[in-house]
Amino acid sequence: MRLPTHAVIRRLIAAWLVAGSSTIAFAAPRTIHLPTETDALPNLAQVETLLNGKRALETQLPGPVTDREQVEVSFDPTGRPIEIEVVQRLLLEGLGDYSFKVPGPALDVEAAPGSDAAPGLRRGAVLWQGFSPDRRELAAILHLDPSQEVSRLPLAIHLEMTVDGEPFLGDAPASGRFSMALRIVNRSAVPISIPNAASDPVRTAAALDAVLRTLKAGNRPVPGEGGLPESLPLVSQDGFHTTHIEAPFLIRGRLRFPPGSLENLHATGGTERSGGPGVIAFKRKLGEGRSWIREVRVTGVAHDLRLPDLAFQAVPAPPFAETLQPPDGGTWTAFAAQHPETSSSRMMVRLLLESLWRTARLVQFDAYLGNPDATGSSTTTYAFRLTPQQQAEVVSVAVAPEVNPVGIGVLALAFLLLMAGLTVAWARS
Amino acid sequence: MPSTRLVPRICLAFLLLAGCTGSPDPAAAGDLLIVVNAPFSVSPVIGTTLHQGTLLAANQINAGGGVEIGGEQFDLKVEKVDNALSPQKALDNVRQAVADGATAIVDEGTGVDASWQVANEAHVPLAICYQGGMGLVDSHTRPNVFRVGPTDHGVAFRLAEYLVPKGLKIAFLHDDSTYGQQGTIAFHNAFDHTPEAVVADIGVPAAASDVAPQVLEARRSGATALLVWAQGGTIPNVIRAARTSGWDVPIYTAPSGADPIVRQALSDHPEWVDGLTFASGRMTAERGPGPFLRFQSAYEEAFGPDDTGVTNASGEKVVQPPEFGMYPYDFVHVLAAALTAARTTDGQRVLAALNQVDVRGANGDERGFNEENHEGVVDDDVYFAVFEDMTFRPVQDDPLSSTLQIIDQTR
Repeated sequence: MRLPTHAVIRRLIAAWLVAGSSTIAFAAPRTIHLPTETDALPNLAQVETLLNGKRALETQLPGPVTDREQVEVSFDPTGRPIEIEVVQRLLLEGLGDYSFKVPGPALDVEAAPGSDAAPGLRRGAVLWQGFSPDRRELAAILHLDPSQEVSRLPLAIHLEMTVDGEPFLGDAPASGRFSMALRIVNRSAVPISIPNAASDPVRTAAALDAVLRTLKAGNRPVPGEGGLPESLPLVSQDGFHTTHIEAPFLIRGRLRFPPGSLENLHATGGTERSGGPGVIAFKRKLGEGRSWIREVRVTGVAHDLRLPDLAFQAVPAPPFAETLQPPDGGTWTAFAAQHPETSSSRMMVRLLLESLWRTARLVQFDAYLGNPDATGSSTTTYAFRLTPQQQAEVVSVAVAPEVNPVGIGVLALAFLLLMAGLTVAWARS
Repeated sequence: MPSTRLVPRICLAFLLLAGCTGSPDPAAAGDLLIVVNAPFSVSPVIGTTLHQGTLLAANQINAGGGVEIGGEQFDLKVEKVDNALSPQKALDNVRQAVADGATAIVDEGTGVDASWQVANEAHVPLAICYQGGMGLVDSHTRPNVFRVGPTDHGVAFRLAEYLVPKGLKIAFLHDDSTYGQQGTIAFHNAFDHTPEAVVADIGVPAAASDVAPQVLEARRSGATALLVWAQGGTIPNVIRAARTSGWDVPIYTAPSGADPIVRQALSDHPEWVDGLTFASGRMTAERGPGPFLRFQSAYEEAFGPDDTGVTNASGEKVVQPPEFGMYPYDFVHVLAAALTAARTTDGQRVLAALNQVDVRGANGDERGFNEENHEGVVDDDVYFAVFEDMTFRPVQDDPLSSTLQIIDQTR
């Protein structure tokens, strides 16, 4: 039998590689996965063990855990957060031991009223350990470091107040032409890669109609539920594009000026309320691709004006149904029937994915500190309040290494001797 | 030009002297001393149990090569001193322990209100392993004081949780020992929220052998239950006074109800012990009885079983499970972990490390402290046990207790 020549061998190898690449191509997904909350959250399982090894406090829960959090942010007259507290209430259900950490990191922690146990604190993480006879409410107030949390908060505040053109910080009463600009920015957006794909237009349209129905009911669309499939068939794809997807927030706030302190008040971005002169209410959805910033402007004439009362709450909220309406009204099913072209299919797929990604991203902000039960229910409300500017606290961190004062003295003496020796040596040269 | 020989020598001298900065670790030589400060003369059962639990942990650690600190191995040495339940004696013992260079003190709790400062000045951790008084432990104001053992606060709140729903009218009897006084504070802290549940609050002299007047007062108050918070020696007096008068009232106690002296004093009427229910720290955990049984086996192999001095109806000897030996045992292991984590025997750093480490305790529970809490036994871990035929078992009408296994107490 003749041995294969080198050329034959090369052809065989090439054929094998082609066959291999064909195999790889054959294994490529033929569906468009519709994103869920699971896709939006990093996998935090076993982080405790990864970080702390054998000394990790294992998570032990007797049953499901419901997490309710209120993030309370005090900001100064420039919008800078100066104090952040989180009140977290965890309701444990079931009979048995519990032990887990809430990562924080917290500067300090105390039990909140109504808590059935007292929390512990270790390296910024809040510890809970005990036994649940059936139900246990664990409530804590965590004091967080504003300088660390400012980058984690989903909203940023920019506030500028002037009286007669001079910055007004509210530390002394002021009179004159008053101007205020409050800007609330949704900074939760992250880049997400979305396929430039077309799918079966009928099924895509049906999925969009299912999402629209769910949003109109005030609920969050979930792939696999309510007529929304978990995936769509992939008909064609032309790469990916990256877009920034935010988690939408619904904001409700009120701005109140002390009675008689502001005349000729004029506000944009908010509505004067009948609660009395100088009361302005605002309600906004922040997010949905085109409205990451909301601004409230107020002008007037100040008379011994002091710091106004400004507070607002923000909650993660699913996209407005209105943003997902078909271009020509009606239903998406009807639209798809009128527009069977590929470009329309791609547009529908893009809309569907972006809407579901926005919904999926909400889960990250449903639990600011985190629920030890990965499948447990979590809700978080973010409350912001204007607070008088305080002198920044000098926080001394005990990081100085231990130094022996005797050693310092000896070192100083040695340095002097060295300098003296060098001087003598130089003089002799 | 400076001399080519002189400058390098000067520089070398400079560098050598520069190495003098930084506090040196304490000399890495000799054993690490743990002093057990307990009432060996007045309450020998308590003292011996605390000492033996400490010694068992130390011996096991030494047998495993000792405590590793910064790459070196240290053995643990245990000494015991008698406080005779005297706060002054306890304070003197702590002073001596500090002077002897103790690395840690295992303390029964008497006199800690004074002695903790002496230990704190020397950065010596002091672990209370018996008394549960509120105010003894505070991680912020007493950074060197720790406790491994059921707290009075936990016992009192669990008693309230257990007894109030039963609709009982409780007469609270307490003695004037430190144990009783501390327990009274905790009792009121827990039961004052439901004043309708308490019909009498009666003080009993700890030295009194006849408490019939006080028990009669309780009976006349309309009580349908007695809750006794007193040293072990007072409890049988209360039981005897009630039963001899024909009053078959259920009696509940703090952890001292498990003290063998109760059964010893009533050995002539063992049926009067039946039904006595006490609250204490659970010996087994959700992981099952395995860990505690292993601890108990090691304890008995080293020291023999703790004989209660009584037998059951079948004539079998009744032994005391080493619950209060478990607590100093766990503390010593936490201490060893802290020493290793601190990489030094320097007291300040060891104290800081004690807030950061966890160990698996003798009963399988995670045992450790943290920056906010120096209690090593959580309040939830208090369970209830009822006596029958001179041994006790967990009650079945409490959610936690009903999950626990019976520990064999006969030999």
